[in-house]
Amino acid sequence: MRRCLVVLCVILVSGSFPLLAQQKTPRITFDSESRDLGKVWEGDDLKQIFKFTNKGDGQLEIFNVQPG
Amino acid sequence: MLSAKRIAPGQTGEIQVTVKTEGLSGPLSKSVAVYSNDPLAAQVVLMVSAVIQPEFELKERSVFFGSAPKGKELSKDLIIIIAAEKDLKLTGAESSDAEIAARLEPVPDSNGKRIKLIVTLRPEAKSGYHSGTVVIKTSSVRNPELKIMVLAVVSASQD
Repeated sequence: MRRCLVVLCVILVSGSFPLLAQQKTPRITFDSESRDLGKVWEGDDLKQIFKFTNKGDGQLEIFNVQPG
Repeated sequence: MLSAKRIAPGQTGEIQVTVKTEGLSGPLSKSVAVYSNDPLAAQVVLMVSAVIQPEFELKERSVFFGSAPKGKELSKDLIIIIAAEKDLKLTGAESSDAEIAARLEPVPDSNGKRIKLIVTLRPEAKSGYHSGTVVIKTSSVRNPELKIMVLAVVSASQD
């Protein structure tokens, strides 16, 4: 009986591997997530560009960019 | 501002963050939250921090004479400090209320970096509520004008 259960588990686990292999996940990776600009003059507009790369194998979707 | 909402594997995108600093001074920290379908980083918080330095430092942005008896001249001074690193000048001061006068005087031995603004409520000011703005013109491109609010209540003479 116990052997049967082990065999069943092995079959289930091995059967799920192809499914896991098919799941493609995106991976958002920023060059940097914070910038310290030091001293700046009042009245300056501080423009910063944050670059990111999708290092995953699925399509990355940005849902929202929300200022805090 | 986001360059693209969908990014293919291996591709890059950009998020432009703009922080306006007008009217601010001291330490500043702004954050932007980015929400995506990355299961391990569904929310990423980007931070921009800086220390804002004013070109012109004023301890107060308003002058309040309170209740003044009619016929009496009252004056108040404000010191304006120009940032040492900046070659800036104050070029003049004008009041929007004819019964409030404003003039600039350099503070001696300050190398032109400290200027005294003298705001005067004229003795001929009529009874009632006076509210005006003193506009100080500067040589700065970022801050061409500094504005000081002036308030006074002139009470009727008792004789």
